[in-house]
Amino acid sequence: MSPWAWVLAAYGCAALLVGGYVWRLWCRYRHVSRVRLGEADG
Amino acid sequence: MRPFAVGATAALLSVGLFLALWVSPPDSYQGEYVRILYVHVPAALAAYGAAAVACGASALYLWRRDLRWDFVGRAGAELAALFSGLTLLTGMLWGKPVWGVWWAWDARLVTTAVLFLLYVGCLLVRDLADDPERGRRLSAAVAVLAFLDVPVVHYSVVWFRTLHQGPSISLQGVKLAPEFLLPLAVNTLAYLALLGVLLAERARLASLEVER
Amino acid sequence: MRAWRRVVAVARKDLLLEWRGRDALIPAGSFGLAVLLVLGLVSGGGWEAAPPALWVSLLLAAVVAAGRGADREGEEGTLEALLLYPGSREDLFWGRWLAVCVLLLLLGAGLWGVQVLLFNAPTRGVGVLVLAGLLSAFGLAAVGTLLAALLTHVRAGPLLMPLLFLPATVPVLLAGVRLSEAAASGAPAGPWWGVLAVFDLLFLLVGPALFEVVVEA
Repeated sequence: MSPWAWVLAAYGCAALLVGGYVWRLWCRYRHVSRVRLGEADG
Repeated sequence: MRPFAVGATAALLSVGLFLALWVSPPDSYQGEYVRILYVHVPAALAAYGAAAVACGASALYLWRRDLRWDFVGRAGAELAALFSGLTLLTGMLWGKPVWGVWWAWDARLVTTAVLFLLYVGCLLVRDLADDPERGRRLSAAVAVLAFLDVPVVHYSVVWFRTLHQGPSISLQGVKLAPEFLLPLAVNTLAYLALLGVLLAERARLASLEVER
Repeated sequence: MRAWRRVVAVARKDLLLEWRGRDALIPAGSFGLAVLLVLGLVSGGGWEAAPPALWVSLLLAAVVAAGRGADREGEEGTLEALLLYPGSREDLFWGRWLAVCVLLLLLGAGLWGVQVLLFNAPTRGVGVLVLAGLLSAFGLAAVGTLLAALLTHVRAGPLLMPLLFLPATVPVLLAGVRLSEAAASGAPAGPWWGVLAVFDLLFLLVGPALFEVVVEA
């Protein structure tokens, strides 16, 4: 395997893990704000 | 303040990535693999930083019973698990080509694995507790216990390895020249900034979820 | 009642329950035996494999023994009842701790004996072993007591016990193995007494403090 494949695998891992965490935060954040808006409307 | 912090972190991360993948020369001994260390080392520092924040905030929560400390403690525990997991993965991806093995019983690796397991346990305790208030208290206790235990684990593994058989392969043999120090410093700064932003956002989300 | 009498009363109650039911010592002891047997089998049973096998089996048996304590709390609510009595919660911790210490020392002595037979291990340096056993029992009992109280009100608590107990007690495992080896060969003990002492000090200081917040109603 070429050295760059290892390097990209490592950066891919970082992007996946951190990105996945940020994505999850974002989804939950949107969910919470949607529910709050809904309460304000009702 | 918030858009500025997020923007500055994104900029730092981009500069770090550019320095790590483009500017940094390949190392004479490790070759291109040195670039993995620009994720590995900052992630490890971020993991220990997150664990320290989790421990401090949890202790303050147990003392003051202010929910805000619990939000920070929970964010710290999650990020400690996340970054220590990332440290282990990138450590293996570095170790296989450079050392020839996926895993070495190096003190830092074992300590990071212990940190990872204890903070995963901390998060599980919170989620599986009978009621949310108890979950906050119990996971705060685990976060404090875990962080205080980690230095003892580290030194015991160091001595276990070094006093018995010759010192294991370690990073210490590899001296870093200045041209490698700059990317490492920028990336470390970027990851610590990322840790700060994620801590703040996670704590904010927790407070929003409780308000609801 | 003075503090130490409360401590002794709690320890006596735990040990009496254990004596009547033997529902921690027998399962934990037989589990430790099974581990010892399996480790001996796969390692070929040479005497140099004895110290790791002894300490791994002791730690796993300790997980079972401490987890059983958590079970008993859950089934019978004994901790809730005790918390209603006046007096400091720290005394409760120390009582529990004393009882677990006794159980661990019994387990350790039994497993050590079997290990000598199975691995044909040398019996030199018993003094070193006794001291190592005492010091590690102090630390292990503190961690076990704390975690058992902590996991009482957690779903799947007994399953989480090994996840928290084993990584946290890595220093005791390593120190125990090296001290056993030192006892067998007469080699110097190196920093391992210090490791055990620091581990004990840490958990004997932090244990009671965290126990108090853990058992709050």
